[in-house]
Amino acid sequence: MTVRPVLERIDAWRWRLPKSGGMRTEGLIFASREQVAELERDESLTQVANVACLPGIVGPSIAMPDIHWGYGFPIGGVAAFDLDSGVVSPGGVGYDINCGVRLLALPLGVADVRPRLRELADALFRAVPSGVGSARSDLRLNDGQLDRVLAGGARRAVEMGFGRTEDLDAIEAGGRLRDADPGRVSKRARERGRDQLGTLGSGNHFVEVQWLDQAYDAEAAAALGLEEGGVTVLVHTGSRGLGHQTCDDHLDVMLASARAHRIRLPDPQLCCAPLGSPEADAYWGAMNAAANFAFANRQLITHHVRLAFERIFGAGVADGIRVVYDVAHNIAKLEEHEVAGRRRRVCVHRKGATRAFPPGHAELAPRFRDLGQPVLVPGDMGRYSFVLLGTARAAAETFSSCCHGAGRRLSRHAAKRSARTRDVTGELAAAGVLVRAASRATVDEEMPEAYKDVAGVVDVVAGAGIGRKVARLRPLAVVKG
Amino acid sequence: MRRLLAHTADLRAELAAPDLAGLHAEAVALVRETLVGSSPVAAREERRFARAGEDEAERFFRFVRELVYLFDAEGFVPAAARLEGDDAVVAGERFDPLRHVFERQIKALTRHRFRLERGPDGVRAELVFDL
Repeated sequence: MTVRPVLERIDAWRWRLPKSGGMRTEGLIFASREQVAELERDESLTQVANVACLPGIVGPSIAMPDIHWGYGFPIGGVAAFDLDSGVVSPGGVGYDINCGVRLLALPLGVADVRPRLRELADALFRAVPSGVGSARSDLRLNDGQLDRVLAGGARRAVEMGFGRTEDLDAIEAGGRLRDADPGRVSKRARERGRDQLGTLGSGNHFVEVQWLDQAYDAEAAAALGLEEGGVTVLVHTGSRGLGHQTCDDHLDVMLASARAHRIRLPDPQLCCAPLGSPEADAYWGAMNAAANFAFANRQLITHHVRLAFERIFGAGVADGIRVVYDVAHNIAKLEEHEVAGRRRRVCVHRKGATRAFPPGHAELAPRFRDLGQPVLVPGDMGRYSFVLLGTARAAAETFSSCCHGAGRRLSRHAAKRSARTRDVTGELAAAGVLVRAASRATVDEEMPEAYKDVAGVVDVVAGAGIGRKVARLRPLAVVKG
Repeated sequence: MRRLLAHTADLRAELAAPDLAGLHAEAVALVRETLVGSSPVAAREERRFARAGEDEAERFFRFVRELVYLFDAEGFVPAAARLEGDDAVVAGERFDPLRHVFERQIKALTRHRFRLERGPDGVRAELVFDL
């Protein structure tokens, strides 16, 4: 069943998608007028409507301004489900379970790094395997070791010597999700992930050296350990083949479950199981385990980034590299939210959306309690990325969720065609951004014009009050898969 | 025949062939080109697996999904495929950075918009891959 989307404008930043067809609730889209015009050209609004058809949905089917056409949920989609009548859907999390972003702050200024940028880009490219079947030749986990990573996440990685205990305080959920059940992760998923811990993968994943060119809120930036002119590193990757296979394994089960529970699916990729059912429990344990694998993956990459900086700038600099924050943007979480005036525990799916708890939230580590949850919003590799903070408005309207990136505007095919006669790497170098990539195809498909201007996305969430701008980061060097 | 269709984030393609064997060959070519572009891939090794699924569409879906798995788990790049009774046999070789150009990784074959239809001209399928 396909619902034809017709939007109603609420204000400058909000649009309502009224109930129609099989929708159980309305859609709420955060976007500017220009962004809406782009959305109406593809299937993303239909996907917002499709999500609204799922049983037990609480509140609206929400889309962030970086929404674009995905598979099942739109990318940029948020939906919460009642624990008694609702569902969990692997399509609401995606294949790359706990794909996320980690920001590191360095004890260096942009003037320190620029003269040695070429050397640094090469060192990072060597230190973090990327591209085809990227694997670590120095780490292959046996089943017991893998189980401990799946159960322990970034915490286990630190125990293995990859990082420091204080890193964990700056990771969502301390880098370890307690609902993980490694026994639910299949042999095939293990085979795919066994030697991929500490690797980047390809596509839109990256390690990017940046500098902070504008602090919108210098006090909040300082509280996060950031300052104008300071150097940062942003890491974007997830659970690699282990997560992809985990999603695949459980989609098959969920298809059968949806049929058995007579759940009408507007798109088979939205297959799901009632929360509390054995199928849902199995997926939940496996998804949380894969999410822990992703936290550990970003922890290992952090370790190797530190080693790369140590080789060039010395041990003192490597020791001074701190984790600012690490967020998941493809995940489902059990959280308490206020819905229609009463506190309810719900299952929030964020598919290409970032959790954004407000100041004072009990789940935030003490150092972030007065600030709100940091929201890391990568842009494209030519322009900029942003650091934001969660707000009370997001808690009231979006189940404490915010945007996760720029959002694509060109298909990969269109981007590659447009880049055919160009040298994107050369153009970026001329603009002061060095790129090291495992494949030219990735660079072409990921060229800056393939993405919306992330500043426009951030302006919408800031205008709507569901995110608070803290700082803007400019790229210096990018390692791509 | 295979052609790319519009999709903002991922890879969406339509395949058509006179028969099922041809459709499987088109799927192999699509996956190979997505992974390694026009790099020549030799049929040095074979992988045999059961064609499981409740109908032909599901069996085809799982066949393509297995191609994605073989590359991610083993670096196995497909060159050709044949159907033998209830089995599929895929010939190809392991990725060799000296002879193959890496284009992009495929995370998964999604069920979004997936279809396999028979018509007067043969068989047609639509696939959306998560990249």
